[in-house]
Parts: sequence; C-alpha cells; structure tokens
Amino acid sequence: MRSTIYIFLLSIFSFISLEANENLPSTLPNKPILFRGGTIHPVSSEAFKGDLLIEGSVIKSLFKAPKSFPKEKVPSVQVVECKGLHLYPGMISANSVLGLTEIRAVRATRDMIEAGDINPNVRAEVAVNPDSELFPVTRSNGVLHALSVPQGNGLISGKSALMSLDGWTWEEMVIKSSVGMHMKWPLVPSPERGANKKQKEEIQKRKKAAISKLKKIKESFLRARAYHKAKQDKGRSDKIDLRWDSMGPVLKGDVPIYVHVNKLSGIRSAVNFAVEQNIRIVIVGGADAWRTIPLLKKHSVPVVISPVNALPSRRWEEYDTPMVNPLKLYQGGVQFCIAGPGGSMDAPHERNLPYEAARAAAYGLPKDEALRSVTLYPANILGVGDRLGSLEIGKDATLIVCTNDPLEVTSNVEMAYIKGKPIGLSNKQTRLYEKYKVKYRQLREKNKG
Amino acid sequence: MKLSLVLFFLLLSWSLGQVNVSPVEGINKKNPHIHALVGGVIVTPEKEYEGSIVIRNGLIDSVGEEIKIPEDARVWDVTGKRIYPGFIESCMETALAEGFEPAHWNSNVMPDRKVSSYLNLDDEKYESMRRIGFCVIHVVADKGIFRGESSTILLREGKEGEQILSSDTGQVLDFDHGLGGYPSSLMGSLALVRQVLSDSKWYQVLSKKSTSSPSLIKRPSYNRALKSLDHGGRFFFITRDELDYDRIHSLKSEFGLNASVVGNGREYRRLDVLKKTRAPLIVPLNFPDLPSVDDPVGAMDYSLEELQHWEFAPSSLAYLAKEGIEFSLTSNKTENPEAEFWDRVRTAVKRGLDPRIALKALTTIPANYLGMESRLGELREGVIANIVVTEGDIFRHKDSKIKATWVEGVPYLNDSDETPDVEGQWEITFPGNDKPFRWEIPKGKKVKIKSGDDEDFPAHWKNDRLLLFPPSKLFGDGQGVTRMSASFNLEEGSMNGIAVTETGKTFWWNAKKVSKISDDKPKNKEIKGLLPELKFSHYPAGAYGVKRVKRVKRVSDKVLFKNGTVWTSGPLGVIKKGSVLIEGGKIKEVSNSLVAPEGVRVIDLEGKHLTPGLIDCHSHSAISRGVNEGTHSVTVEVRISDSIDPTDISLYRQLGGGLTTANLLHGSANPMGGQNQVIKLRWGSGPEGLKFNGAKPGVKFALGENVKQSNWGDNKTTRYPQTRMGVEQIMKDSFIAAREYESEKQNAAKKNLPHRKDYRKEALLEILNGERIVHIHSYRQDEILMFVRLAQEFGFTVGTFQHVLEGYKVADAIAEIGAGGSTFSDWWAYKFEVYDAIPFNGALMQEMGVITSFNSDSSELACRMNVEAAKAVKYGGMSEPEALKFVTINPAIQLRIDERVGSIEQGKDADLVIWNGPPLSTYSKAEQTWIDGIKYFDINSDEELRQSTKTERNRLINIVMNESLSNGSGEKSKSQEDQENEKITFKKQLPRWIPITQSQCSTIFRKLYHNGQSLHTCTTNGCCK
Repeated sequence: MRSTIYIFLLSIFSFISLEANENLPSTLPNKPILFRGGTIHPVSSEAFKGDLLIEGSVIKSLFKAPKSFPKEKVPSVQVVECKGLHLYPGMISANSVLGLTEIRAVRATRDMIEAGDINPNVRAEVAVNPDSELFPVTRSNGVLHALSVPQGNGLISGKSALMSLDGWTWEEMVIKSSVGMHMKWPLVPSPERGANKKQKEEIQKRKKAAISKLKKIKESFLRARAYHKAKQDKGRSDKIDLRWDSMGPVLKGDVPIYVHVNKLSGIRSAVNFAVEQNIRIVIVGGADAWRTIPLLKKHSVPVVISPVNALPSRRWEEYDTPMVNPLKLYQGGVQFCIAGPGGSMDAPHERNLPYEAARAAAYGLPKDEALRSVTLYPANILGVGDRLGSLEIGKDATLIVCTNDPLEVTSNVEMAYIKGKPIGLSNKQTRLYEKYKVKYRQLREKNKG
Repeated sequence: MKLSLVLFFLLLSWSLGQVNVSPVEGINKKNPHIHALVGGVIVTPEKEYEGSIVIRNGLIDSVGEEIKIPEDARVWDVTGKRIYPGFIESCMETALAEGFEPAHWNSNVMPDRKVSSYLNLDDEKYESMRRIGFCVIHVVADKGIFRGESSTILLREGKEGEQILSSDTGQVLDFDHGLGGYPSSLMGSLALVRQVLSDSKWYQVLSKKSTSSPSLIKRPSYNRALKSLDHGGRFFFITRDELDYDRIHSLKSEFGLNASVVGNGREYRRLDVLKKTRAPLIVPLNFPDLPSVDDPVGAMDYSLEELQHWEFAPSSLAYLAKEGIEFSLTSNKTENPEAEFWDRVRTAVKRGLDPRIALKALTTIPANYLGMESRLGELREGVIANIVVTEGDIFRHKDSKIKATWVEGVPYLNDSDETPDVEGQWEITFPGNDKPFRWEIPKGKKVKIKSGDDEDFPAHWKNDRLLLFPPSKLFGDGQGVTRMSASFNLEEGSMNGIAVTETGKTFWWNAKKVSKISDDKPKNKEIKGLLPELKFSHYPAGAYGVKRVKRVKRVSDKVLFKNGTVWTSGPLGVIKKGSVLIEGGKIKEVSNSLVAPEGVRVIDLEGKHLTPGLIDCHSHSAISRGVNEGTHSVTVEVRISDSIDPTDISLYRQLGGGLTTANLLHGSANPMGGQNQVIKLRWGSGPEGLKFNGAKPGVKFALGENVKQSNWGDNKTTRYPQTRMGVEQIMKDSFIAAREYESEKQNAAKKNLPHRKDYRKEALLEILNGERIVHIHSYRQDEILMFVRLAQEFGFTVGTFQHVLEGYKVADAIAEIGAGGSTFSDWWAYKFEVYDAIPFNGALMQEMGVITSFNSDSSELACRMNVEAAKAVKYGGMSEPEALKFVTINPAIQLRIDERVGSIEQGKDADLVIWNGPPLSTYSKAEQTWIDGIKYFDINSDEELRQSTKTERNRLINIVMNESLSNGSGEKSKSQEDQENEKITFKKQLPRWIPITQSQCSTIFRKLYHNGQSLHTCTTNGCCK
C-alpha cells in the first residue's frame, strides 16, 4: 500500500520535473488573459484593486474596482484569479553579466571580457547562452529582464544588450541591442601619497598609466570621428575598421556611453569628457554620484546605482553612505535606477535585485521610489520606457504576480509573464530541492519500516 | 657651486691600549693621543656646567669644572661650545653582505647569522652618521624573521675588528611574512617564532643531557641555528604596527624573554600596553609627510586616522615621557636621517618632550639597552671617549651645529656643509685703485654681491673658494665680466685672490672685512596651531573611535527595555509587548509584565522590535596581515588570535547591522588551516578585549577545489593534495602522525626525557582529544560524507560544516555526528563545486536535524544578516522566529557559546538589538546594538560621531593647508609635463583576464586601518570562500 502511494508520488514528481526540467520557452496563449481581483501596482501611478487584461503580448486594459472586466466577456478570456495577490511589472536588472558567464571560476564558461583595451565593436547578445541555468533562477524571483554587459580590464569593453530571460535563441531574447557602449574609466590616483619611497614611485607609475589611458580614450574618439568623416567623403577611404565603424551611433548620440566609475574624480572626468565630445553618458556604479549632483543635473546624466548593498569606499564615511546614495539622487532630482553589483561573481545572484532597492528604502528612499528604481526607472534609462517598467495599457505584458511586496524577502513570486507568455518558475534549484526531498522521504519510510 | 662637504678627520692610528695581534708593517705610528677639551659647557641630563675633559688613550681620563690639564695634552679650545656624551644610534637596520647559508629548514630563521661577520657599511655611511653626532651604532640585519645576532660598533676608522664593541648584542626578530614560502601570514610568522623559540630551548637541554648521559639520550644532530639561540640574551623585536606591542608582550611572558621593542612611530596609541610590557623601547622619528590636501577631491581619500597621525606623531615622544615610559631614539625609518633627524628631535621637544629626556634617549638609555652602560653614554672617568661638540643647544635651536664628533678619542671635525662665515662688508683693494670698493657678501650658498651704487653682480662658491664676476668696467678694462677667485683667512678677516678682466689683464687683489651685516634676518617663525597638548584617548584612531573611559562606567547599569516585540530565539518565542531587564551586563528578567524597579533606566520600545545580538559563524573581518597560511597543507599551529585587528572599521559597520558576535576563521587555501577566534564586536577595545573568552577553541579545515588548487592557475599541479582523494589521505596521515607523537610524548614523560614540543601536532592532538572542534569548509556531498566518516574513524568533533552547499544531499549523515551546518543563504554558481547549491539548503538541513545557521563570509553581508535569515522563510517555508534562529541561537550552539549568547533568556549576556521594524523585513534597520549590557551602537550617537568626524577632518585639513601654504610648498604637479611626453600606443595586448593566483592572494595583507572593503576577489580561489 505504502509503496503504491510512493510510486504515485514519484510519478507526479517525475511529471513535474519533466516539464520543468526543460524550462521550456513558452508560447502565447490563444486567448486574452484576465488577471482578476488582485492589487495592481502600475508603478507609474497609485496601486489599486481591480482587473488587468492582456491580449497577445501587450496590456490591453485595466479595470479599477469597483469597475471590473465585463462579466459577459469572461468566457472569451482565460481567467487567472488573483485575489489576495499583487501584480507588478517585471523587474529589470540594469547592470549584469547574465548570459555571458555560467560559472565564473570555470574559464570555459566566461565570455564577458574580450582581449585588448578598445572593443567598441563587440556585442553582448551574440554570446548569451539561452540555456544558462541562471536565467530560470533569476526570473523565479521576478527579475524578468537583464542588461548583459561586457566587462573589461581595458577602456572600452563593448556594447550591452537588454535581454528578456525567456526564449529559444538569443535573437528571441533580445529586447534591445546596443543599449550602451560600456567603458571602464581610468582613475588618476589622488592624493599622491605613499608611506615610503617605493610606494611613492608606485603611485607615480599608476598616475602615468592612468593619464596615458585617458589620452587613449580621447584618441580613440578622435580617430573614430576622423574615420567617419573620411568614410562620408567616399573618395578618401573605403577601408573598414570595425572598432571605429561601430562607434558611429555613439558619436551621433544615438547610443550613450555607459561609464563604470565610482569615484568623484572619475565621474567628473567622465561627464566632462562626454560633454566635450557631445555624446550621451550614463554613469554605472556611481558610489560618489551624490557628491556630483549639480554636475549630473546640469548635463542630465542618469546614474545606474550599482550596488546599494555595499560598504562605504572610505574609512571615515558614514556606514550607510551607499544606502543613502539613491535617496540623495532622488532628492537632488537626478535620474537614477538601482542595480546589483553587476560583477562576474554576481550573475547567479541577480535574483536579489529587489533587495538592493529595499535597502535604499530602509534608509529613507520612499518605498514607491524604491520599487520604480528596479522597474520603470531602469526601463527609462535603458531606453525601453515605452515598452517596459510599468503596467500601462499598450506596454508589454511583462508582469509578475506576488504574494506580497516583492521587495520583501518573505514575499514570493507566484506567476510571471513575459510579453504575454506565462513563464515557468521552476529551475535547477527547485528541481534539486524536490529530488532530495524524495531522498529523505525514502529514508523516513525505510526507518519506519 | 656649493662649498663641498668638508670633513676633516685626523688620521691618528694608534693602539689605544688595545691588544694588537697583527705585526706592524712599515713605520710604527705613534701619534700623541692625549687631548683636553677646554672651556666648553658640559651637558648631562642632570646639569650643565662649564668644564673641561681630558682624554687619554681613547678613554675619558677626567672631567670636571676645575681639572688639571696635563702638560702633554693637545688642548682644544671649545669656549662657547656645548659638549654632550656621544650619541648612540639604538637600532640601525642595514643590508648585510651576502654569503650566509641558513642552517634552519626555514631560511627566514637565521639566529646563527652574526651581523658583525657580514657588515656592509661604507665610509660614507660612517661619515654621515657621525655628522648627526652618532659615535656608536647598533647594527641589525634588515631581512628575515630571526634576523641574526646584532652588533654594536664604534664609528671610527681602524683595522678590522677595532670598531666592534659587541658582536652579540642581541637576537633580532621581525614578524615579517610573505618573504616566500612559509610563513605567508602574520599569524604564520608568530607560529614559526614560537616553534623556533621552543625548539632552541629543547635543543639546548637535549644537548646537555645527551652529553651527561649518553647511554640514555641519543645525541641530537648538530643544528647551528638552534644552538646559537640563547634564551638568556637580549631580543630586539621589530614592530610594524601598533598591535605588535601586544604580540611581543605575550611572547615575552610565554618564553620569559628579555625583549626590547623597536617601535614604529605609533606608540602614542598604545601607551597602556607599552606601560604594561615594561620592555626597553626604541622609537623612530618617522613623522609622516605633510598630507596633500590642496585638492579637495583628493583630500577625501585621506582617512581621519592618517590626518590625525600627521598631527600626533611628533607628540608621541612627549606622551611616552609623560606616562613615564622610558625609551631611546633611533634615526632608523627616517628617509634622510642627516637632514631630518635633529629637526624631528627638536619638533618633539617643541611638542613638550623634555630635552633632558631626549638627551638620555640618545645616551644613557641606549647604552643600558645595549648592555654597554659601563662604557658608553656618559661623560665620566673611564668610559670610552665619545663626545659631541656643538655650537648652540642641539635639542632646541634650529641653527645649532655639530662641530665635532669624537669617537674613542678620535676627533672628526665637522666643518659642515655651510659656507664659511664671510657675510658682511668687505673693502676691496687692488693695484692702482686709490679708493677701495665696498662690497657686501650676504649669507648663503648662492650669493649676489652688492656693490654700492653700481649694479649687483653674481658670485658663487666652488669648493672653499668664492668666485666673483664683477663687470670689467669697474676696473676700467672692457665691457664684459671679470673673473675673480677668493680664498679666505677668516681669523684675520681677510681674503685675497687673482682677477682676470675681459681683455685678459690679470692682477692680485686683497680684501678686508669691515663689518658684519647688522640687521638680523627674521628667525624662522614658530608654526602656530601645531603645538596642541592633545591627549590621545580614542581607540581605534580615526573616525568612529571610542572614548574608552566613558564605557567602563556603564557595565553595572540596570536598564529596562519595555513594551517592544521581543524575539527571544528561546523558549519564550516572540513576546508582543515584552520587556527585558538587564543588570551587570546580563539579562535579569524577560517577560510581558515587567515594572521598572527604581533607579532603572527605561528604554521604551513602543513599535519597535528587540532581538538577540546576531551571530556570524564565518567571518574574515578584523584579521590583519593575512587570512591564510596556505603555504603548507597543514598549518593548524597558526592562530587567528595572533592577528586580531580591532581597528577594522567593519566591526563598527557590522554593529550598525545588529551583529554582536563573529567566528573569525582562517581561509581555505589548505586542507588543515589555522585556529579560529570567536569575538564579540566590542568596538573600541584592543585585540584582547574583542575575544569571546570561554568560546570553544576551534580550527578551520577545508575540502574541495580550494585546497586542491583548482582555480589557482594551470601551473599549480604539484602541491599535495591535487584531488579529493588526496585530501582525505593527508588528513588521515596528519591524525596518525599526531597519535604517534602523543605516544612518544608520553614515553618521554615517563622516562623524564626531554621531548620536542611540536605546535602543529599539539593542535592536532587537541582536536583528537576533543579540546578543539573542527569547522570544515566543504561543498560537495562526496567530500562532506568522507569527512563525516573521517570524524567517526578518529573520533573528533565537527563543530560545523562551513558553506556545506550540498549539505542538503547528505543532511542525514551530518546529523548523525551532531555537526552543525553553517551555510550561505543563496549563493551559488561562482565555481563548479557550487553549481548544485540551492537556497533551500538551510531549511532542508534544519528539517533533517542539522543545527543550521547562515553566515556572511563577507564584511559587507555581515552588515545585514537579519535579511539573510529571512531567506529561510522564502526558500523552505520556515516560520519567521525559526528563521531568525539561523543568525542567533543556532550559530551560538555551533560555536558552543549558547550558554552565554544567542537568545534572550535570563542569565545570558545582555547582547541585544533594537530594530525599527520586524527584524526579517528588508525595510528595517538596527537602531541600537548592545553587548554585555553596554551600548556599542546607537543610531543617534552615530549621528554625533559623523559630525565630530567631519569637524575633526576639517580642523586638521585646515591646519595642513595653512602649513603647506606657509611652507610655500604648493604642490607642483608634473602631470602637464608627463602628458606632453606620453605617446599613444595601440599595440596588440594579451588577454587581461588573469585568475588570481595564490601568491597574489596571499599578498593581500590587510594592514591596520584599511578602508574596510570585503576581499571578494579571492572568493573562488581559496582565500576566503
């Protein structure tokens, strides 16, 4: 008797795991979907109780209680009961290495750093592995999009792409290519101090290297401009240099540079550079961004704060310096969003994005701002604010249904949709969990018997 | 050209009463060697008086106010000059000549290296030291851990060996590390020092006994290194930071050493320890450079501690003297002693150091420290005639000069690098002029001659001659310049020389000094704002330091926390509207109906939450100069307790996240790492004060990728073990060796024979005998299971499996041996062995009977452990109170400290945290953190500390700014020039991704007062995770 139950249970699990194992990219339902009776958090406006209808890949209509979706039309839609649940737009990670690495320590799985200093021509999306086990884990906590960012030890690391975390191929996953050209900004050491001669010499060396790198950046832009000028003037050159060729949209201001920099001196130097070059710039990292508010504001420079869960960079700074950075940018009127650390170690942990925002809220950022800083704000900065980041009619039907506020760890994501398609929330980890629960069930059985 | 340095020394070679064993070649030199210094002011620490000194055969023959000057003495008139006992350089580190072959297995252990045999000092160094006024230097080698036996030498010429006063002044030790091989960490260095000291004692006993009873004890094989380490002698310990004093103190008491401390300039911060240690103290004058704060952006990167140190360092000596701590001075660690030494002594005097104490610190005290008090340091009959003659008070007056340094009766006259005293009005005469010119020569090396009505003209010094270039028209011969050279007869006040005009006319000329320049140049102005009599009372230095005095008083306070939601993590569960009474640092009562007894401070928790202080079972915060001793596979002898860093700002930041206790662990670079140290985050204490006394001793072991060097680079393929198979075997082998050692030890004890104490095996024995529990870094289920079986086989206790990310696969086996699981909440996929990690691990292990905790392994994550705990609710569905236990009582049980901490229960330590919301909420933050009934963090006083930090920074930056502006040393940046010279190169580059290797890892030595960043870069490589 017991064994039959057991076999029955096993078969259920094997069924579940069969489907889940595949983490199958899903298809569009043939009917519109009605999310009924939940609390809708459009993010762009006040939350309300009501219904949300999606049709195809977009949000079709919203009904604020006491209004509701007409009863007579219910048979024509698929109904998802959301009573007691909360609807939010899917969260967007604006700085990540997702897709470009699976296991950082295993060299064969690292695709985020290209050789050389100047790599404007490499593009992230072509190296994104759609079958990465990290994607299902990430989206199971409501993070449905991520900017895949080439990393670099040099100066220009490459171009990032905004990916949705669902699809058979990278082409299906791309939401937007060439979101930004990513750069690592060299820092000239200041103050030039050292406890002894050796240290002093060392710092002079570093200073020289940094200055030379800064010149190299400038030189790259000059060469790229010269290249495009020559190219326009057909008779002068028809040779193709992929590096300079790929910088065209940057020089025209269509694609911003995303400068990864934390220190005040670096932010200042990067922004001044962008102004001088008349190109668009986004600061990523930005630990000292709050110290440069007037500059950022004057030139309308957005900041991807990355991360909030960090330690102050100087020993004497207040212990909550990184946590109040978003609050200060918010109060100062600087466009910002919040991301995780975004390093190659952090790709598996992108699911913790909401807690970066929550920490800012714990230290004073209004809660609704915290929520926007991982939904609507990254969408706006990444240039997809017309499609993503809030629950509004006409926008992508990309949303999550949660038990509670997704910024609280104790709340869970029950359902997720990307462009109208329901997304499986199982993943490698839930499968292993189920598998080993079986082991202990077997053990208990054995002990009892 | 400047007048070159002229240093006369009289080549007086004589016997000085020394026994000369070598035959004389050529003519015997018998210069007179009786001198009398007459008419000077004799300066001693007790008094100053006019008197004379008679020197005979290198010794002082007599000294006094009215002594008889012998007929045969050469008389030196030193009227108006000051006469000091010759100064002693207490510790000069110097590179030795090559050629020494270490006898010890560890090449950093060289007690048998005699510095006197490898001296490598040139005449220039001798001269330079004499110009400072040093007659004697204590020379120590500059490298090694046991650097060798130091030597005391006289700074005089002579045949080989004549200078050496002592070739065995003392053993010199340094806790240096990272010299290659073992040790690579501070704690490794300490362990090595202990083992060597113990070995040498054993060796000497054994040698003796084997001689007296050769039948009973086997003759030990000869070991030059151990033989030469005599515990009765002097030991000089080089220090590198302000916590080395504590380390020396404990070695001193452990081995009964006659230890001297060679300081590092931060003595003022640890006056209490130095007072307690009562060891001879040798202090350098390595005052920091003026901070460059002119750029406000750059200035932000100066820590408050650095700025404070700039202000305090010159006062350090005055503080020491005030506390009655005796010290000697050294010019060691100053970059350019000749230029800086006396300036700095005088600065220290300006800061309140009594010049008489400074004098002692250069004479009698070092004489005593070096064991030479009968021969050096004073001006009295019978001591070696080392004498310094100065013009002016060298301890006070900037313009004071050392005129002569007498070393063992040999005078070295210092005509100094100044130009001859020729300033003044001169009357120039030459053939054919009736009316002499009047020229004025100003002071200084670059001179411009004022020639009355006519234009000024240039002149400069070349060696001891002044070259002048007046216009030829003065002499009525051409329009160009005339070249004149002058040599002086200063006693007569005259000069003469030859002159050649533009046309080549040549003539002799003469000049006579008419007068000195009358108007005194303004004296160097006193620097204002630099002489505060500040008491250094905060610890640690810099931002957020704590005034210690204030804290002690509060221990006995009674405090009632009332009306809050109390999460006890104990049998009482969560009490809504609960109250907790604490007294004497302990929890007195917990209930929902407490009324405040009289005289009790009440803290109203309305709307707030109270939890036990959080506990982190895996931390690498507060460890200085190396977390790993990864050089050998087994290093269980190293102790984290040797390298606790109470200055780590992470402690304060973590208090701000409600953390009160942490398990400081060795890294995971090798299978059997080092001994752990559980601490309480008593920010403001010294290293001893942080220790959680009574915590069960533990040790860190490690399995898997890190110990088999999987991610250390492709060339790391030879260290054993390279596989998980080998990991098991090396552990087995070590335990078997320890058992064998034990029986040898017991045998020796029975027969009363000397037995070599092996610290490594002693620690393994402690593990086998249940006195030390194992914290085993592990990931994969196979290795976890292997270790469970190993523990069963050898019968040792596993406190925790650390990380244990596949613990969920073998939770039953872990539970079987009663071990805990200390895991990450949700980390995974950063290396191959953690690809199967799942966030449900914690809940599942707990469910299967494993006491489970979440740890940080990161200085940053340790600031928000409450939110980590919440993940056990999310993944695995635990209740919130049970999840909280993952960071409170569970880690306490794992560390065997649950009798004291981990829950809010009567009788436990009053370690409490007040939260402004539910503790597991991401929106909550800690408002107050209490340890032992003392408040260590308060969001309100934090606000005050921020303000005072800002105020203090501003104050210091302003002082520095004024100072640098008044020095006129506005920093000139070379960057412009650099930029010009820079060439752009677009050459091909190799891929820049270089995995961090162990050697790079182990060079990440965190010094004290670092900025507190986590060392995440090591994560996949074995340094930490």
